[in-house]
Amino acid sequence: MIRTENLCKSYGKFEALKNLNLTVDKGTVYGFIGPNGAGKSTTMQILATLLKPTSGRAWVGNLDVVEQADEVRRIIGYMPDFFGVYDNLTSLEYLEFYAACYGIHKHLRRKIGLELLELVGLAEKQDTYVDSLSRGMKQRLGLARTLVHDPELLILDEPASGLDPRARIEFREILKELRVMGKTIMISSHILPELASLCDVIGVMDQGELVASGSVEEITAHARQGRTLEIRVLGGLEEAKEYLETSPQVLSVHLEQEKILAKVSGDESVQVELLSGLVSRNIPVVRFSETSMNIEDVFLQVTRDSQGGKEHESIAATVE
Amino acid sequence: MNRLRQLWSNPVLAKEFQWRMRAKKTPWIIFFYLFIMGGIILSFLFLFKKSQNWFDPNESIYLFTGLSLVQLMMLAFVIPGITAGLVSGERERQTLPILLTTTLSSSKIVLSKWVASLSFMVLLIIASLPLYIIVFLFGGISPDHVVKVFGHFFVTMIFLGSMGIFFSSLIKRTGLATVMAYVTVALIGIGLLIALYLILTIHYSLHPPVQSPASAPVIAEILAGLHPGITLIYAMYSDFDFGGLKPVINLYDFYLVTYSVLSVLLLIGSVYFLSPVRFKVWKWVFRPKNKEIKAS
Ligand SMILES: Nc1ncnc2c1ncn2[C@@H]1O[C@H](COP(=O)(O)OP(=O)(O)OP(=O)(O)O)[C@@H](O)[C@H]1O
Ligand SMILES: [Mg+2]
Repeated sequence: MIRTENLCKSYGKFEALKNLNLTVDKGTVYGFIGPNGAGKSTTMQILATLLKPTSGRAWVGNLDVVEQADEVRRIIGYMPDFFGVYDNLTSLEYLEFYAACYGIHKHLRRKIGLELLELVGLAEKQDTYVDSLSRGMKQRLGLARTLVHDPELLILDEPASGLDPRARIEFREILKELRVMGKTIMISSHILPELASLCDVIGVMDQGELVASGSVEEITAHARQGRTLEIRVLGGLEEAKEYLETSPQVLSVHLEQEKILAKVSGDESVQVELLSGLVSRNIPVVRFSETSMNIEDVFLQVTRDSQGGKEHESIAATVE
Repeated sequence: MNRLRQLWSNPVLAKEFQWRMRAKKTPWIIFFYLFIMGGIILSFLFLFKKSQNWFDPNESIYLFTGLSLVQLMMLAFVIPGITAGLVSGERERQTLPILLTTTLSSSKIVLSKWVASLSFMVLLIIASLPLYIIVFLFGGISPDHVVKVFGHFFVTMIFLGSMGIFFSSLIKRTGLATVMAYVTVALIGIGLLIALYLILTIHYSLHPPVQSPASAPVIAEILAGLHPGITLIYAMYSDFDFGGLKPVINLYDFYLVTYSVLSVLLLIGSVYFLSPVRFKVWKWVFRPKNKEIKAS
């Protein structure tokens, strides 16, 4: 459904996207995560025909987003990260207006509008002026708007930002419904847990590059490949760090306040070895445990590693 | 014809109309427009009638021209104000990206906004017609004068509207776009006059007029032909000259043609700066050519 080939976008000298290669299959829900400024919105704007790539190409449903922009617009529904509404329209009129923009016949507009308001749970707000809706309601109305022409692909840029936890859950339910309807959905977020339960595939972006992509399990499994040990000592922090850094099984050591976080490879016998090593050096260990990684740690790790630059190639390589 | 009907059923156009008619300031704009125009023309009439109690047809033309010049100035004041925000306002409201991802083309968006604002101007002019009727009642104005004046208004409106939209599309901020539009209006309205005055003064000092029917320098004629006020006066008075120098070219026709061409260019420019994937415009411009090639 979506394919990009060495997609690049520069703003002046700054390269926001660097040779992005991305594939999203039809019918999947693709979660796009990454820290601020990673280039998620830029990618989505290019796919939505709003931005011209500096070089490289991109296709949506086998249509080139630059050459066949008109045809692409017909099959996508795009929701920007920030969008305004016309203050003089009611919710229903708002949807009818965009339906008209897509050339939908006059008699169908109202019906489509009502159905969509029903879908996003705004049925009782149909006569409310759009600017008096709450932020979350506007967001839901925005989602309804992306659907007026029944597109095959939805490109949603941080649709859940600014929503309270309950609204997020409701939003997720709506997206699940859309997935059942067979739509391909590309959704961006900074918050991985929000996406984890929803997405079939996740792509992690950082500094204009795709640093990891795969199913949620794959990414988590990969990040866990080296397990992380959390070690707390009462003294001899430097000494402990030095020892850990010299052991061959330890991949990396981070100091976090009073804790040492060590990423190690191998099985549990390695842990035993390291613990006895620390104890034999008379380092007062108070805590020695394997951290259980939740999905947020995975996100932090994947993006932090790529910032370190040291390991991100290996990550990209193994996950691909 | 079919295209025209498509444009009329355009949702952006419909919404612009609806918005303009629902807006609270619309009646005020109409009111002030008529108030100022009526005020000027009635006080003018009043002063005239005081000195003499009959009206001569020449003075009637004088009044008609004066009224039309006032109307022209009003257009120059109002149109940039209502058109310079059409695209940038949409951008500032953050509704433009969404509009651009719909299947509406950039040219349709620009054209429908343009048509909507011009329709409003036509409404203003129609509302001012009763003032003209007062002048007509004194007689002495031929249908030819009327046609010429309204032709002039029409082209001027089209140009001012296109220019407002152009700046609105080119410049991201409505404020700056509005300023640029008014600066352009001032350059045309006042700048041209000053330039013309300087050129004629220099010309006179270099070539003191010997006989009456001498011709003006070409550059002066071009500058005069670009000035809305001068061309309007030219159209009203067949014996128009620059203090003894008779223009060779038809200033009125020159004005209509130049500003029509400029309007088209400005509209194409607006579409160009609006469309996100810019070179698409070139495809749009060259499309008729391609069709011809295919057909032959
Ligand atoms: N119009 C622009 N002009 C210059 N630089 C830009 C422009 N738009 C984006 N950038 C830069 O491109 C980079 C990527 O921006 P982008 O908006 O794609 O990030 P993002 O992943 O969506 O971030 P966020 O999570 O904050 O929304 C940023 O460093 C940003 O500063
Ligand atoms: Mg973003």
